[in-house]
Amino acid sequence: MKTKHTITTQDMEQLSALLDGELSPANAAKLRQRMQTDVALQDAYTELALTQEAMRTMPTLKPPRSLRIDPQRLHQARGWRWWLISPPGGQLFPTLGVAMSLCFCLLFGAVALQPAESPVLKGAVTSPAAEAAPTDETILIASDAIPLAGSPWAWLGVVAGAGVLGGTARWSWQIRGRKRATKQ
Amino acid sequence: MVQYEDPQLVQLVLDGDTEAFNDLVERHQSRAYNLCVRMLGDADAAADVAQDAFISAYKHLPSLRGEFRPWLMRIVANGCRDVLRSQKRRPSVSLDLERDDDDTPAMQLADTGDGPEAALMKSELQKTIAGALAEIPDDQREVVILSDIQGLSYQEIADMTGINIGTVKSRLNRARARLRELLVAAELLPRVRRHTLESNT
Repeated sequence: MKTKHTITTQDMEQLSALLDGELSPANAAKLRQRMQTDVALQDAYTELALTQEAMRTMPTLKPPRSLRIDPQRLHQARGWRWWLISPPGGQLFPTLGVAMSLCFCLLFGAVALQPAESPVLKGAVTSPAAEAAPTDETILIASDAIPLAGSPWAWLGVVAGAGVLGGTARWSWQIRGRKRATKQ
Repeated sequence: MVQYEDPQLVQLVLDGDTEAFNDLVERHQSRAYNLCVRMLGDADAAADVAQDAFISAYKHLPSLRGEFRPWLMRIVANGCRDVLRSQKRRPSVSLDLERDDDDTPAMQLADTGDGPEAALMKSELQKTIAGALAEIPDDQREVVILSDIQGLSYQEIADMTGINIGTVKSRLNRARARLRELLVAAELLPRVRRHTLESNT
């Protein structure tokens, strides 16, 4: 026997999802079973299906003009991200970046490896007595010569330099790869 | 002529080929424009928003991850939302867009081969739907256009609009319910078996 029930918002949502094939198989089967005995549910489903079909008859409208964009305008629209993939001067810019970060790395590496109290740094301090008992003055001279010698800050500089080196090398490699792909 | 897929065209654009971007524009302009025109109800404004969306897509192309089309449509939808927000008005959609004078480029539709009566009925139906679309809230209109006119899945709509699937479902349901009411009121839906409701209980 067919019955008529009030359709809830949740029923409508389920019918809508059933129409779109977005209901789980279990829920779809349950809803279909209910529809067999509930006329109101059947009618609502039919009307929804007809509404959707009507929506699908809506024509595809043509734009009133072509939306093609003038290449000059596109060029002007380039943001900073474009600069990263095609830097000014082509490959020259990232290559300079690699070279500079390599120099940075080597410089800080040399400083970091240099002991703060090395005789070389102390320069004039050569007498065995002075070496045996270095005065505050000689250490001060050494520190003045290379401020970060042997300090953790120098190592931090090496790590930062290595990071920049890796980044610019990768960047350079990506640009090179893109250019190679274009040629192919 | 070689027909490139979207990812290949995107790569060509990134390599500096601006003409390849216009190939992408040609390919997606209809979908982008139709979303705009259904959302905004103004052919010229829709063309402007769609073109701005393409320019914005070009600007941000180096940051594209994933597929081009959904990403582009997200930009288009955002553009439409911005315009609607700034206008703070109900769109004057559709009745103008679906009018009968075929002189305007917007009305250069494909000939469906229907007879005059069927064509008239169809035209009436389209006018009513367009009018009904203008009456529903912006967020519901967006979802129902994406689902029923553009044919996107719930997941695609959720990804595009940044809302969850539950919200997509409820907005779609409300939009369809309202459209159904309007079509029934205009007697444009075939009579469903309402007479059987009482007799079968």
